[in-house]
Amino acid sequence: MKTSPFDNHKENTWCPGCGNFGILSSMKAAFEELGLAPEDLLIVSGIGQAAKLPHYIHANGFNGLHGRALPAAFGAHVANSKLKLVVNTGDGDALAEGGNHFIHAIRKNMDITHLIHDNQVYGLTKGQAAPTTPLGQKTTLQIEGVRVDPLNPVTLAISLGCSFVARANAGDQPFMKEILMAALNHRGYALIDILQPCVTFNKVNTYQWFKDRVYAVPESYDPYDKVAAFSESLKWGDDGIPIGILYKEDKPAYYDRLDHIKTDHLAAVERKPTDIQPLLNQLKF
Amino acid sequence: MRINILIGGSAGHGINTIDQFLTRLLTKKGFHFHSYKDYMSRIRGGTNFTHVTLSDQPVHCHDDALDVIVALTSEIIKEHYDRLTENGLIICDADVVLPEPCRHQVTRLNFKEILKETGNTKGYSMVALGAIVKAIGLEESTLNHLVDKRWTEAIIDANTKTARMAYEATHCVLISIPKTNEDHLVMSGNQAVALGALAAGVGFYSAYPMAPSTGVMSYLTQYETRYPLVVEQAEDEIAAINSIISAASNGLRSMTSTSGGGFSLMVEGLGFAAVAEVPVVMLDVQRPGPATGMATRTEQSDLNFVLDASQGEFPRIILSFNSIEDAFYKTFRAFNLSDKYRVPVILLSDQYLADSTSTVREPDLKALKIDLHLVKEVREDYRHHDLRTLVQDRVVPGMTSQIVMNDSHEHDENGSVTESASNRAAMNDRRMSKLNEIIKEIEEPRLIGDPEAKDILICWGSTAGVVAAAVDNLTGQGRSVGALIFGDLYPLPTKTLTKLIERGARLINVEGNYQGQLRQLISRELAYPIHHSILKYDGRQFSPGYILKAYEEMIQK
Ligand SMILES: Cc1ncc(C[n+]2csc(CCOP(=O)(O)OP(=O)(O)O)c2C)c(N)n1
Ligand code: SF4
Ligand SMILES: [Mg+2]
Repeated sequence: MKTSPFDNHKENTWCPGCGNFGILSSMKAAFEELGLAPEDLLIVSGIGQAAKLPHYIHANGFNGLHGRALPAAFGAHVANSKLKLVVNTGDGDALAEGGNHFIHAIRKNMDITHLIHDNQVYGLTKGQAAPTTPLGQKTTLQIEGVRVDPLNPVTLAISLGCSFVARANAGDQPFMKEILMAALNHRGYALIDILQPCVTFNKVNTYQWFKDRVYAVPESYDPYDKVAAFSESLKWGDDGIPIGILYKEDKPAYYDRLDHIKTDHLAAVERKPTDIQPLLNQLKF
Repeated sequence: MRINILIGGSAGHGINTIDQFLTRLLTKKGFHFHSYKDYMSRIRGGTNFTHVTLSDQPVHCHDDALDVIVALTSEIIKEHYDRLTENGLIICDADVVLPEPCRHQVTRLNFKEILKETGNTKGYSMVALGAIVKAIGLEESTLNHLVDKRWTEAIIDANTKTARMAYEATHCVLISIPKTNEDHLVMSGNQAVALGALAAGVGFYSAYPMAPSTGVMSYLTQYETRYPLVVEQAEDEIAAINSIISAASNGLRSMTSTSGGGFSLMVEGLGFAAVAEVPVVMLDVQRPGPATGMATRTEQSDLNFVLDASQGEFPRIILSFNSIEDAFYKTFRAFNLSDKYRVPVILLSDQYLADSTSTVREPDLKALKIDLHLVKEVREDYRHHDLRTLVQDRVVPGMTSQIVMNDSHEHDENGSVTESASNRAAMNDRRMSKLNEIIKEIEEPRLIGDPEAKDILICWGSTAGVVAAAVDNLTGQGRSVGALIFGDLYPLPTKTLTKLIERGARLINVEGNYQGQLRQLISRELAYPIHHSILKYDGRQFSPGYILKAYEEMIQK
């Protein structure tokens, strides 16, 4: 196998055949092709199978709490906007435990690439339903089938005006790598919903199941048309599943909204206690 | 010598404005003061008052007895008349009902008439100010200082004219008033925290609004440009704590503040910061709980909570503020302690202290030193959680070419997840042993009054000011009593305490909570039971008189 500067040779505990391997390889390939070095990157995650990813790559890592990857990415971005920030979350991590943060992180349009490893199940905790599990699908916990409607992360992100929304298929690494590179080059919040087969707990949404249904959006597709993107994003299942860049919106990234911050590395600013003397002077009467 | 002035009316009467300008004028005249606001959790109506205590010495609490009551509504007289001293004065609006017979000097001003005459319809607070300035014996020229950046010349003229008219119309004056001539700063408890954080070089502040902590964020946000600083209103407290942990793990000094409800949401993050050994400073401005509790009232009931908050075992530092000045220094120090030991520092304030304003001696900023404890060059043998040492500088991403992993699992020395039994025990030892180092930098409680007295009052946080006033009072009566005032709470400093226990002092804990939570902590750390408590948990701060009364009753028994 080809080696990469991002290999770290740690013991990997994903199941053989898991879709996460494809995502990891595509990430390394995209980083390499973009000429990034391990110290340029910070990989942030929550908790879950997907969220183990920072441990399997040679780069700066932040493996935080379940559901809290996005606030963590935000703090890191404020401290050092020079770092290329990549966030790896599961569907539960991003949309259930972290659902509130997902909504508000998109509103900030911070400059990150967020990969949802969408296996439509909770892998780490052994097969319970995720927010993306289809209605009626049986799981290890929802033994009679899921009773609540699924959430479509792509539709949600488009409706929130996320500045870059894409979908990729973990079974198609070259395509995924292209999407990743586009996302990494995007200034603002780039979301990629990755169809990720969980070979152990999701016997419905398999590599083959996706292969039979995905289609790349055509050349003529205009990702800047919000209404068209919204309706395209609603396609799912036997009607076909669109992959590619589904939506784009031009708007200022978070740091560009901080008119008062003149540095791209806030943590490196030298500060002294005497800096506050003018404030003390204001408190004299 | 202390003079107490209570100014009250309904929300919308401009009580805040009166307080703000009165305290400015007092500071200009060289007085020390302490001012606390008692307000209801509503925007209009209800009863609000501000209580200003002025002196030639620093003041850290209000007194029970009042020298002047300025009543804009009858309710204020009804509630506070009994507190007026024999020689006390009343200044009130035309329609305020006074007790019959009223044995005090009264100046009744027709606020509306005065305002009509000066054509200054919005100058309600100026009438009150003119009257107070006269009543406390300051010369008329004091009113020349009634100026504000936001006011036009015309407004200043109208306001000064209004205040002068009230000054002339006021004929009751206090006999004796202290004289002083010193320069001080004026700040609130929340401002002191914000300033301490800025002095420490805070670069990121994320919080979710919650009374009584919001003032810290409101103050900081004004200075985002100057420092440079990012102040972000988070979507919730969970986001706030997680984002500051991450910013701090990237080398930026970061802080969050909240009250008990928000702290409850931050609990998992607290443990994460500790296990990842990321330095964070968290402020809990206590209000009565549980749940929503009372938003604009005070209590000291979160000590047990912050002592044990979050699952598992880990080191933490807990510091409480004894005064507004202390809040500045403790906040500054919290950052250095947190960075040095890579542990979370929890600051305990409360509504009384946060919303009070007082004169503060100007800090000597040159004497303060920021110590970030960051690795600035590549270190080949660097281990992020080095088992060979307890205190180590840390690597943060992007400062050097060295990469680093911060992790919420149990991890090995390099931040990799591991379930190894020996590693787990070693890492736990490493983290918990930090407390043995930290204790060396923890400040012993301050012993005031008679150090050899049989009775020693024990307190912490903002109760310090009231207890000190009570001790002064008893000492003035020729009685022998002391007090042990805790600022640093955890790890608990025990040297002074142990000496007192050994010499058989009778310890009496004075706390704004039901359980006697410091008493419980002392019993937990020293296995020493304290049998006497003076407790208060009605949402209001102690007063010196309350403590004296409870103390007298206690020793009668
Ligand atoms: C506060 C908290 N609640 C619950 C858990 C247990 N937990 C860990 S991962 C997870 C869900 C994982 O599902 P997902 O995010 O979809 O990731 P996957 O394993 O499928 O990649 C849960 C419930 C936890 N670690 N922390
Ligand atoms: S349980 Fe599923 S998601 Fe987790 S490693 Fe195995 S295959 Fe992958
Ligand atoms: Mg999942």
